[in-house]
Amino acid sequence: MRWISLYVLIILVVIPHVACALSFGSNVQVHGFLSQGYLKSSNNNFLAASRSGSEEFTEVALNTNLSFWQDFRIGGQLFYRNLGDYSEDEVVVDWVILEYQPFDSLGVQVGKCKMPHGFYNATRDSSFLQPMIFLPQSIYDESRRDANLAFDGAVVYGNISFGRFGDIDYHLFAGESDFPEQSMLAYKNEESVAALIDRNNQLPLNKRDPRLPSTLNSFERNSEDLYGGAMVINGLISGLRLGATLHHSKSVIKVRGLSEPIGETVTHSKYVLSAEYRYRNWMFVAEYGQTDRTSLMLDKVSIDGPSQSWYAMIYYTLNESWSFSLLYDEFYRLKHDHHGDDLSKTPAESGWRKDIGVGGRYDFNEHCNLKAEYHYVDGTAMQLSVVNPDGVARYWSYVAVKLSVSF
Amino acid sequence: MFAQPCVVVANASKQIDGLTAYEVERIFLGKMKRWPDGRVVDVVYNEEKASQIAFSEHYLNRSWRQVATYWRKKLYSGRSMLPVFIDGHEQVKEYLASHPDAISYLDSDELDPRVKVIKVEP
Repeated sequence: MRWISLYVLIILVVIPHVACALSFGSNVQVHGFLSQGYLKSSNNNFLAASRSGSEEFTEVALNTNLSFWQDFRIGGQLFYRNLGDYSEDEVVVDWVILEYQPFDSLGVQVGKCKMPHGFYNATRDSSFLQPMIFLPQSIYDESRRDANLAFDGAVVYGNISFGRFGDIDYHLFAGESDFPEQSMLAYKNEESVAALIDRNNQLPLNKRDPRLPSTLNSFERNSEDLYGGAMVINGLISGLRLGATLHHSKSVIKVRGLSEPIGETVTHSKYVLSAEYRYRNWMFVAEYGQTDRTSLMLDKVSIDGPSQSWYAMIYYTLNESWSFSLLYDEFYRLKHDHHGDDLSKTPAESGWRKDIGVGGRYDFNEHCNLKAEYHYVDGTAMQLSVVNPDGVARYWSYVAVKLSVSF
Repeated sequence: MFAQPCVVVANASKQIDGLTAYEVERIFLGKMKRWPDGRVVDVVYNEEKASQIAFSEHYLNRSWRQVATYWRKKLYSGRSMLPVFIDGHEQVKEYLASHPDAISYLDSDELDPRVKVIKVEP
């Protein structure tokens, strides 16, 4: 709630200047966008009740900024999202920051900041800016979006020039992850803890684990550790960008009445290596990522080891209006187990997700575009069972269409 | 496609002899935020279509659509405000005349005493 209060304060500061906001040279800016989409899938639901077709695919954002004293800026973005059960369905503060940048090579932001992760995580909510509706899911998993979207803390950043060798953008950050209470991730965690308590209660009294309460009165997931960095090398060769992001995090699950957490997830390292090359009407992008993590619940390991992700995408701009994308995307829950042999109690295909996608985009003008894409998928990794309680099919597909307007 | 070459301009009183092409690119992409005198650069994109295309392709090595997307990504990720966008040579000149730290670009046949051409070296 404190971020909502801070954003309201920003709006109150900005409103007296709004009359000038659209005039030339104002130090106040107000922008935003609205997107409405449609999702339809075969065999499995994807993010929403998409097997029957879903319009629960809406995003609205209001972005405000105020610069002052030459080197200072305060800004924030309110965001509303409706995406089946994976959204909070309420207005939230996407980010809100106070920034001081005295030099090109050094600045600092404090507040609720977007998490640097790969090339596109910081802009994932503004999908109208991307070639396709969905970012490659292996790196930008929608089912875990809430845990990777933003954090409360500080970022030190800057751009360092190396002359004809290009320049480097860097970001170093630390803080706490922000886990929204009304998110699918929180819901899944709470469901797991409730099931654990339920199973414990079924046991004879002398065999029950005393660390668990008899009922789940309250549950929370708290971030204890988050730090990392990102670097992008620009212009080593004209049109080329190379990037690397890395972060470490730890979160714990607490239940009321217990002094110690009953579970934790440690992400020992989560890294992404990225490359983007623009040449005339073409853009080629590839990213590779690994997440080495350990999840424990009452000292039992539920997952331990690195996942592996990668994708390659080609984007072609035919003219001012039309552009097209082709994507191949792979994810493995465990890097050393591409066949799902080590996964107990779940089908082997829950160990991977392979996606081939093709998309088209029509730009009516700079502020309005329509996108459509088709994906064919082999594998059921990435929480697909959450929206498919009756079971999942290994091979499935989905179509998405989205209209976006910005101002 | 473009009737006249595109030139980089500033307020007529700005004390600057020239910039390199690399510096022009960095300024208009928000990576170099200050003039050599330490004042914050007020970046102005001229939205007159031919100039817009000529400038973005020649100086920024990008299409105009890529430039617009670049800035909007910075805006919506919280990394920057947008620079100023003004549609038309006359409006750009009016803005430069009243903003001593502004920089923009014009067709070479649109110049007048309110603006100063900045020599751009390769």
